[in-house]
Amino acid sequence: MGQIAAVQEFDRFETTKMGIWIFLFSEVLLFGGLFAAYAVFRGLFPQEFLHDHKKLDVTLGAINTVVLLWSSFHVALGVAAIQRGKDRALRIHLAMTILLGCVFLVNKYIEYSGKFSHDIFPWTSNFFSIYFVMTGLHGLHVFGGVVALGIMLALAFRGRFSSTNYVMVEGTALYWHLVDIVWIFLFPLLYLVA
Amino acid sequence: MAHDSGHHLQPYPVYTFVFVALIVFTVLTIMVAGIDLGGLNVPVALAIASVKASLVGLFFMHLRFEGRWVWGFAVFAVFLLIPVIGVTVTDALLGFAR
Repeated sequence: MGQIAAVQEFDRFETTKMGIWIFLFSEVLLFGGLFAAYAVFRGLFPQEFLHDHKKLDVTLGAINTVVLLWSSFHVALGVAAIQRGKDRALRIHLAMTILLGCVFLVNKYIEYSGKFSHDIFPWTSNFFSIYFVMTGLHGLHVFGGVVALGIMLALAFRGRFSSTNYVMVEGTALYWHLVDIVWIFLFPLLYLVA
Repeated sequence: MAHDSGHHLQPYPVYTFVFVALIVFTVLTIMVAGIDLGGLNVPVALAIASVKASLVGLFFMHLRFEGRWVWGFAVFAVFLLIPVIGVTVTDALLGFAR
């Protein structure tokens, strides 16, 4: 009896995680299509990329890179904590992750409004259309991640997670890490390399 | 067997070490971008980004503890993307040039 329950619990854990990985796979392809568009635009309009990318604020981009890496670090520590049954540490790390995610979004807002005030819009040039589409879609993912992390934090406060039941936290963390990985590629390609 | 997956406990210092490495690679990315390597700037930037992404995948996402199914998705995604992006770019650039 007990063993059957354990096997069912194991299956639920593994199948949930498999579902999350299939979702992550589709996300990779979604952003992959945009990276292909970036490469085509770059190949067709090299001068424009060279000229326009200098209008981006490397400092803000670098700060956001560190902020997102830092948030990934915290959500990974949160999963490590709940694996060890430490639900208080989980809540602290989830809260830190959410805070850093919000810092990222605030920076993004500052960056976007700075561009708009300098009359730079998605239709200004090919470079800025790909810049706004890619960072915009990525920003939406960060926003969605913050909401998902907030739900996890609320559930954690209700004591819903333990060392044997944390697959939702892990799934949210995996999603957050993927959003971080997308930014790891976006930052050098948009802000630095030309 | 596969029952272990997801229940491996990775020591806390590993997370800290990986985080520090990620910051070091970020600084390296910015420094290298300031040097003119000719046509090599993009490949170098992509190489550093790939190392960073691998660190996140292996240690933060616990890929190193995962079984062949999860690895299948991760590897398939990467090896699907490379030809898709490569062929799209080749086709677009050669097509427009004519």
